[in-house]
Amino acid sequence: MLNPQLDRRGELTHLLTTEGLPRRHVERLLDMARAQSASDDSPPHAAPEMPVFLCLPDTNTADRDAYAAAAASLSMLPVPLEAQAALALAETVAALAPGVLVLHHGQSGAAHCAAAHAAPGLHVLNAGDGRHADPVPALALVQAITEIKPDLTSLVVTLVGDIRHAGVARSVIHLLTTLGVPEVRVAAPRTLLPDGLAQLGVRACATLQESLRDADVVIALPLNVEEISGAQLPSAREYACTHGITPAALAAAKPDVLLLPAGRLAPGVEVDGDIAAALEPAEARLAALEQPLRVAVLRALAGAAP
Amino acid sequence: MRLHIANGRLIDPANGVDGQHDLYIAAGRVVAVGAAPDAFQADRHIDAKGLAVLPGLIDLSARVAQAGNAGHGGFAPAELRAALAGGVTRLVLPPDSESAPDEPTKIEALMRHAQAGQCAILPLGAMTVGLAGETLTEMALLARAGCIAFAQGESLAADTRVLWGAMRYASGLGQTLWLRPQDPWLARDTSAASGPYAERLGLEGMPAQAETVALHTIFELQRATGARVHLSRLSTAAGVDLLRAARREGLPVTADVSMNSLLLTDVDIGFFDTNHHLSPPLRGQRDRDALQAALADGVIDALCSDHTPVDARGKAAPFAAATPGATGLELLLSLALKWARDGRRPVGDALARVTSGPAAVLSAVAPHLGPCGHLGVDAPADLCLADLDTEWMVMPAALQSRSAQTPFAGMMLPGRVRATVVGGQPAWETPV
Repeated sequence: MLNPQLDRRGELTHLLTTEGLPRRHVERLLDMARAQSASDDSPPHAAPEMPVFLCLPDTNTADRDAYAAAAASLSMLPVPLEAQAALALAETVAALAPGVLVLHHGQSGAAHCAAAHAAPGLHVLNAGDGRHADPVPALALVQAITEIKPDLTSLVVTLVGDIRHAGVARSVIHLLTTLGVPEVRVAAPRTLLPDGLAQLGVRACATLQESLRDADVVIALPLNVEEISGAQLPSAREYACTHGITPAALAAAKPDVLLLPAGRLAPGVEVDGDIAAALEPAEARLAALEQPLRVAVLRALAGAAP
Repeated sequence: MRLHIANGRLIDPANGVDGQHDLYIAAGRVVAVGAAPDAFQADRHIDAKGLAVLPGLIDLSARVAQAGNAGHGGFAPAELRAALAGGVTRLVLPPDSESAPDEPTKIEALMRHAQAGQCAILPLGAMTVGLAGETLTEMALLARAGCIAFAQGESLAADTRVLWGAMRYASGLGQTLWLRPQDPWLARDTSAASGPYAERLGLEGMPAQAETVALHTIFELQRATGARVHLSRLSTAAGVDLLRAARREGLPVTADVSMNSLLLTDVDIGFFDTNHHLSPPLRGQRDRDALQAALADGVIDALCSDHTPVDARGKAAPFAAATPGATGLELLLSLALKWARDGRRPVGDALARVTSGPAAVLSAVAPHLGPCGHLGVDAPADLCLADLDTEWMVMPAALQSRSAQTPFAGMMLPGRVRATVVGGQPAWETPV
């Protein structure tokens, strides 16, 4: 079965998921972003005037602005699409000119659907499709880990929270296992854990305490209580009691543990209030790392040399 | 018309026949097998040299009605052609959820479109008004209008008291419920089978318990009411185990499996291929193996196509939003043969599951229909001629069905129907 995000030569033609993404592409994107961050120069213009279609929900103005700025920095042309474009996705995509489509969609598999209906020359960048994948924030998390702990092959990484409904969790798990992290653990109420974790190369821990023991990196996932059925979780308060990360819980991890938020966390729910306050620099750093990755992915999809 | 079909290999699983026998047909019935009756003068001779002569296939689940329109739209001509091209001479029509067959007038309007030379269509009536799962339909009147049994769509009625009532009522009338064993709550908002593959793709999965919970409910209510039930499209290994136990116990229950569940698994979904978005969802290899074994040993009575025409637009969407279903009538014979070939089973076993097996289900459900699914003397002359030795590639655009959506597209399959005879009249010849 051909990987739909690679062309016949094995080069990246869409960025749909980190699953099955060859290690050399992952490393290339991270390297491009790192080089861009280290340089004051604007990035080389990959494909001037190439349109970058932005199919992102109106509620997500931050992402929309960030991708527009990333496109502009490459002299590409950001073209916002109307909100209805996501409804008739296949028809909309089939009618688009060559360029890059940045797509955020509520349905898992939407990016694959767009790629399947894209005309030649249109590259799809998955900016989140349901609970399936969200590659760019996942790449930013990995970049943040490598900045502090460059040797990924000696790390224990723990993800805490709603793995089941989080595309970014799946994406970061695939990246970590691709890059050789020897132990990836997850902890969450059982209803928020997906089936088949072993096949993903992940170990499910029965308790938060067990998952944090001697961990080098802890990634806290946001809990979207409004979107989780009452049949899966009774309340945020209950979650905070069983899986909220507190200084006491974190004491079980390595002393130099790196705690990263995979989204906006609510103090007193996913993390203790004191920890939330201490996470602000990490949040800012992740945001700073994400922008060069957006630029790198746009450049890669537009066909730029590394 | 008097027909003489000569030089063919007659395979008639119901009568244990597999050999070189000529077939003589008059007045829509088989009048002799082997030697010609006295003074038989054929209006037409068909040379079936190199071909197998088979009973017409019976498909226990194929949607061939025009969508919606309360039956007034009749049948879709392309789907009727697809049936004949697939050698199907008799099919069971499940209820259309957009226009539930809950009124005798709807069934009468629909059946007015039935014509000689088409495959016979046996409609299922709605078990509840509007398939809403609240009020029982007029089953006696619907049966009089032509319904052979009563179904409730893709899941059981949410209200178990209604199902209980339907079983008691149908049992009192001598009618059968034709049920998809699927719990509506566990099936809600799902688009794939629960398991590692669905989770990997981020799809909401339907647990196997959706089927087993429903089966436990059905069997328990059968014990209380004595109702006859046909289980449509079983899909799990655990479900097969429950069915096996129920049959051993002597409950009046029959079952079929769709050719999709018989031959595919959830991994075939690949990268969100919406042609694999089906109902029931494709499950794991263990389930597929159990279904294959149950079909082989007769615990599952019949193989059906689950023919569900979906247009390209219905599939051009993210996986969960795509319309479930696939075309199937023209692939039924080939996929039955593939099942036999892959499992090194006799060809006769495969043919039995699409002829005498479903015929036995129909004779239990609707004895008034009379015998079918065999080619003995006096049987209805519904048959097909098939080349069992050929291989063909499934090219969706070349199919007769208006729906080109199938998970078997591009696959090489064994066996091809060359001609179909309905009621003693040649009804289809596949262009060479």
